[in-house]
Amino acid sequence: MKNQFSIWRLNMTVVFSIVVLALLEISFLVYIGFADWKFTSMLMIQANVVLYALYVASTQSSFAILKSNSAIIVVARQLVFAVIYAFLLIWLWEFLYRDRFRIPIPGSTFYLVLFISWVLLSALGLVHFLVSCIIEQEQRILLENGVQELKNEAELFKLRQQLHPHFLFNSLNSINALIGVDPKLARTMLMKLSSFLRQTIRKEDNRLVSLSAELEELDLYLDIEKVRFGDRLVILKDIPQGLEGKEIPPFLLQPLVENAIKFGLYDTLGEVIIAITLREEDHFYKFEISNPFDRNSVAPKGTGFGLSGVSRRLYLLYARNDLLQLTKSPGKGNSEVDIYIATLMIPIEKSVQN
Amino acid sequence: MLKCIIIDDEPLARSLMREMLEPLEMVQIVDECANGFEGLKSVQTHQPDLIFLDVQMPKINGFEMLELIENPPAVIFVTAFDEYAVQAFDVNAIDYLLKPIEPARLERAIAKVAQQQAKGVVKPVEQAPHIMLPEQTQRVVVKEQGEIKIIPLDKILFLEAADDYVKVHTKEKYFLKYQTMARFEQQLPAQQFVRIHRSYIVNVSFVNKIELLEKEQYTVLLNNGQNVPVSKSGYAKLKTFLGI
Repeated sequence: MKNQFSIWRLNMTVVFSIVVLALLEISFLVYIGFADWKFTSMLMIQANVVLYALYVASTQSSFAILKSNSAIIVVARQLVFAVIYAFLLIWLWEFLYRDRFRIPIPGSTFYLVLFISWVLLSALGLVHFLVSCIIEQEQRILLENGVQELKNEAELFKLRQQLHPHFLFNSLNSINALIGVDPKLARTMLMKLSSFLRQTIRKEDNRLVSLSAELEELDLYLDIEKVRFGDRLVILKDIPQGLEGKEIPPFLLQPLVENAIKFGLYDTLGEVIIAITLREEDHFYKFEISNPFDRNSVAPKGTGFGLSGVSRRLYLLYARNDLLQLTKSPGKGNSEVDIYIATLMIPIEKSVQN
Repeated sequence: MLKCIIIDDEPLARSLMREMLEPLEMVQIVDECANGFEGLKSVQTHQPDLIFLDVQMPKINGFEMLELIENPPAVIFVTAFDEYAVQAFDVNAIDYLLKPIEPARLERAIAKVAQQQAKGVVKPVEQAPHIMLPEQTQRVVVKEQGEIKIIPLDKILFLEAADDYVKVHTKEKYFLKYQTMARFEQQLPAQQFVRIHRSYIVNVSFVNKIELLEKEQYTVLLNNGQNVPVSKSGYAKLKTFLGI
């Protein structure tokens, strides 16, 4: 909307300037007795429109240059272009009107008219240039404000995500309960919660982080959840040793596990077994996280926030949509409960987006 | 003396609540439940005066559990995060406590309940417009012989008013739910369910055709062969909905 309005304003300025320019030229020509206005008017206006359009088109690129170069270059270029167009204008006028289609031979009046036209055209060009500059400036400010706003919003959202309000307050509540019955465990929980929060907040978005640190953080998170949900939550982990020095992007593992836990806990009534395995393959780290779910469950939370967030991150990092696979497999024994498996493939590479 | 039940899926949260309630003389804890299923049974057995209800729980959430109780007791919602506050007040909860719970706040809430009980004010669950949790927009929770059934919306053919209840018709059978038609109309997604009659809401994805019975008298034929009456205004609504 804003943009359209500005272009409209620019166009109006141009049209207005052309009319003024043409009127000035005509009055001048009539005043010095060079032509009479009735015949001159139409031709002059038309010639002005065409030439001015050409003029603007040829100088348009210089507005773009302005961002990197100085305004002096742009103005100088405009003045040069103005000479060329003033010459063409007057010459064309002489050719078409005055000399009745004979090639004109420039005389002293011709140069005078040329000079006046050049001055007027340059002035007009500068007006146009200034207006464009102002409009561009306005648009840039608007754009920058918008970008900043979006950025702030995204940051806030990220922060909120990192803080996990639901998890945080429930954990605090559990710690509160433990203070009465098991102060030692309360203290351990509090330490774990602090470390977990500190690590998530400290992490930067696009840097690779150490895999073992990510796994440590995951352990902190799992320990807290185990205390919160007691016997209902069973975690089976199968993670090999010797992962020192290996790196992966942050914010991939924990959200997936969190999603699995939520899904499992809120979709079934009984014991919830979350199995986490990690394998190092040729070009990938392969994580598998499984949780039980009710086959007849109504809400197919298949693309819960955790999952869509992780997919999005993977896409931003690797421009691939196939790194997170979701499969369902029938559970053993109990007919109501099936197993949901999220498989995450993280490409092994030296660096991901610097 | 207030008989109360604690319903929360986190064991520590329950034990903390118990610890906080025990010193209070006017409260007597009669049961603790880990989910809405247990909660519903317990409410029916113990007929408590007050329940402490967590919102996020396995299978059915606190609001859905409350929907299944015909004469619900006073409710104090207890949750970790305040995104549900508006809804809690819409279902006419006495109060709404945030975890970790402040003891003074808890005592105030209980005093409020005691006051209402002394006055003999019975607080019914208000059937007022309220925001929905995401899962509630995809399912309807009903009770059948004490058992809780969760019906996905795409299994519902139509709903029929029956006194204070609504019959929720599926292909196999119907379930009764103690809820008004107006509330259902509001709750169900408008792009799938249309109120075609004072007593009927139909799932349009099951509509086979609209038949003319007699002058200005229409009926909807569903895919399974059942007929559902359509009122005059309902016919107009259905027509605009189907774009004919």
